[in-house]
Amino acid sequence: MALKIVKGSIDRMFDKNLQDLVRGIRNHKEDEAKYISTCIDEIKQELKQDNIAVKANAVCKLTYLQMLGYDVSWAAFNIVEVMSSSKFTYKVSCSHQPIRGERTVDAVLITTIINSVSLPLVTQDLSSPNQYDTGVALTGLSCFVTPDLARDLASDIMTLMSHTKPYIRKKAVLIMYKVFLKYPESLRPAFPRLKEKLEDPDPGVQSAAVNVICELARRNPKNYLSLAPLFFKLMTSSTNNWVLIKIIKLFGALTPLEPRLGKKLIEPLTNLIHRALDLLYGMVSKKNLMEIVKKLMLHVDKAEGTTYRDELLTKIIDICSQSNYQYITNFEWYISILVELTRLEGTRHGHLIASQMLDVAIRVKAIRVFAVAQMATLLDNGHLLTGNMQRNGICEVLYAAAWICGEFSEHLEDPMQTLEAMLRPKVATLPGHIQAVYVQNAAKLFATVLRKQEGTTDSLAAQETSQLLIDRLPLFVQSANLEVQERASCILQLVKYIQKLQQKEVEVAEEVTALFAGELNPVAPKAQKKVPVPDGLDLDAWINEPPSESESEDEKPKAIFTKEEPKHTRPRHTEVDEKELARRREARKQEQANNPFYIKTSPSSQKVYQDQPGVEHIPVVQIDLSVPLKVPGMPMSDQYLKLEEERRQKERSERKKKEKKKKREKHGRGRRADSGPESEEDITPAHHVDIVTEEMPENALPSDDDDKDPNDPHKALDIDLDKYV
Amino acid sequence: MIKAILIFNNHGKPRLIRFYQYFAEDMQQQIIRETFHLVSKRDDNVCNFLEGGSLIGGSDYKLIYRHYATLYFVFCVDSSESELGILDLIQKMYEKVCLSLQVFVETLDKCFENVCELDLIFHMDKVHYILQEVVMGGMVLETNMNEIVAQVELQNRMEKSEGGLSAAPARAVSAVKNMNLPEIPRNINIGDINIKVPSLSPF
Repeated sequence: MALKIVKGSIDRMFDKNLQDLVRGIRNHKEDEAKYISTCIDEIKQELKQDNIAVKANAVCKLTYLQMLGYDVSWAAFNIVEVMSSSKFTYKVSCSHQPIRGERTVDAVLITTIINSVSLPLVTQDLSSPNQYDTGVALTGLSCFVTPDLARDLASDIMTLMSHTKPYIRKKAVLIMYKVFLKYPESLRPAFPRLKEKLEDPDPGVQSAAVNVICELARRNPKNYLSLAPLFFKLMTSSTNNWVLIKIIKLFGALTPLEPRLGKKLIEPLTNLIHRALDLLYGMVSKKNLMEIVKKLMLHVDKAEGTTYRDELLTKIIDICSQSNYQYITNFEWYISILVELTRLEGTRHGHLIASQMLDVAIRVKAIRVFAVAQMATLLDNGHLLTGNMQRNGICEVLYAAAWICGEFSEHLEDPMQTLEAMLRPKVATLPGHIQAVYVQNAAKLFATVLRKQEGTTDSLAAQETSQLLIDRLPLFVQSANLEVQERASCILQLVKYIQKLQQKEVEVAEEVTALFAGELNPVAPKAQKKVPVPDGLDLDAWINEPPSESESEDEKPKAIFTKEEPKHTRPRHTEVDEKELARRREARKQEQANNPFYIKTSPSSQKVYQDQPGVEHIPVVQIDLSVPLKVPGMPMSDQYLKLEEERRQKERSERKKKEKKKKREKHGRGRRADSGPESEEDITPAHHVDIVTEEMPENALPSDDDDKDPNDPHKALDIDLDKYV
Repeated sequence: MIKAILIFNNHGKPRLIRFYQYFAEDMQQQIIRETFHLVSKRDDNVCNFLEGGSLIGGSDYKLIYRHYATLYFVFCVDSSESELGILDLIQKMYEKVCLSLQVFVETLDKCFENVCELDLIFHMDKVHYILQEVVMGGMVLETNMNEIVAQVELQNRMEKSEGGLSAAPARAVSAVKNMNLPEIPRNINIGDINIKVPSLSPF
């Protein structure tokens, strides 16, 4: 008898375990099916043995075979049997076996077996003091729970939901979902407990509860509306991302039923979106910038709130302009994006777009032609934008458009048309500062037009242009805005003078152009600070003698009326004045020479215009702008994306060809060249970008110290610590 | 809810499968084949989320996958799961599986520097272990990998302590198998006892 047992166990030593099975299968690649059937026979033998370890081993192997596609449902009973073992090891091996039968006979048989056999086993396990036994039981249960099992075990599992160990609570909560599916009546009694778990101190249990309720709610949202406040609280207080995601998805299902919920959700959701947008800032690169902005533009179109739109707008511009436009490879695309953004209604960031346009047009020389063309179209369609009159509204863009057209008018295709567009009567409805720019730049355009027209022998055209200005400007001269008035009257006088010269057949174009000669470059923000102090100028010296004590106190009121005081102080003043004046004059002259924005006085700066409300120029059609407008002539930025893709493809294929050639030459045989993902440096920009650097005064010393606050306490901490180590 | 977790290699052979919904074996194999089909066509630099396929769950499901060397890790989920969250989970799971397999494999006195597909093949049960702690019943149980590793360690220890004497022969045998024995006598004759040694198929 004993020998038999020993023999048995030695026999068993040579049983294959899982590794052996796998190895065996791998070694029998040709006759795999045959080998596996042999193995299955062996497994059946093993399952007949009494030894639980052997059976467990067999079950392990069965799992593997099942993965390969072999039907193992015949072993269902044995699996359950192994589960009944008191040893944890064996239980684990079968806890992931889904036990089911496909054939109806089997199904009935197996279900009965499971119900009758598993129930006591599982119950025993569930109340086991060992948490892992319980855990395994629960896991296994999730695979094979049947309606009967569910009914019987529901109360046990509910108790487990309040177990001391969070590990068990977690598993119990999750398995309730399966129990609910099989035995729906258990939901009612279990629900209060489940709700409690939402506020469980352990985060794992909490997220399990959220998980279960979210799953349930997705199918029947209306039952869970009452939980919305609780979830709202969770959402705002939780930091666990999984929980947050689930809750937001849940709200997505709930909101259609309860519109008020949607409104309440806007605030926290926008916070989340802000956080996401902030992330965008850091993750942009040359390659993905265009794609990202395209997606953002889609969002902008779909966005319903104007604040959200504005946020997106600011974000888009921030991303694009960071690090000196480092990530933009195609500035034409960027300008077209900006122009598309102008079509947004009700935005409060018109000035942002305007400043971007200005910045790009000034600093990227290569793009000026394109930019000017775009701006000209904008001006032509300016009447569409004049609807929005608020400060910083989208009409600010016209400011930029006018300035760009004026300053870079030599690139304009049809300066005459732009000039006319600038002087339309409707312009007078724009805000004052914009009108001022219009007027000033109309003058610049006038210069360009004159130059073009005087080149030809058509002097009449030139005179007509002058007449046009004379006709249109008086409307601006009568403007309520002082700046507009001043500029308009100056320019009007100038034109009248020019007209007289033109009538005498004098060439004036050259001189008029000279009025606007010179490039206006961007000035560095530190430029003012860096103006070197000229020699001999002592900034700390008193300009005037400080008032003496006695005078300031008693006789100040008298000092105004008595005559002795002025006589007394005046000679002192004049002495000081002479020297100081000279110095000041020097300093001022230098400043003016360095300051590009200082308008040098011109001899004859009088222009006169006359404005005539031309009826034909006023557009009659009022277009309803609720539908986004496709203005003819404005490019769609999508085409740039495609162009960019094509360009990169071409570059890549060219580079591949080059590499292939090189490699072939080197090795004499064809090799597949894998260029891999393009690195950032490989991407060549579409245009040669010459970003104009900012101007600094001459002899400016480069220094970074200006930034540091002299009162910064940390400055004092900047000592060499090596001495004290 | 997670409908299924599949791990298969570049040729479509399943290395580990776990379905959280009942499917018959041939359905399962079909699903594996179809998923492999969908996933293997994808280039390495395209998005990791796939929609399409109709076998599991009808229309409301997507595939989230990651490709590590020779293995594809694929999660079939429905729309209640966050794609990025699952992607992150796959990453963490992969790291921990690799780590634990490495540890396990080292304890068998083998030295592997990198965990490869073979380790996964041979220690499928270990991987199941870990998976059980991550996803249960189709829902994510725990996302904190340290927690999971701690649980797995504890359970490992339990197993070892249970093993005791009865596991000794099994352990001895596996050690023997890993040795290179030149020959085993076919018949062991110890007096009255006649033990016939079955022929061992070449390992």
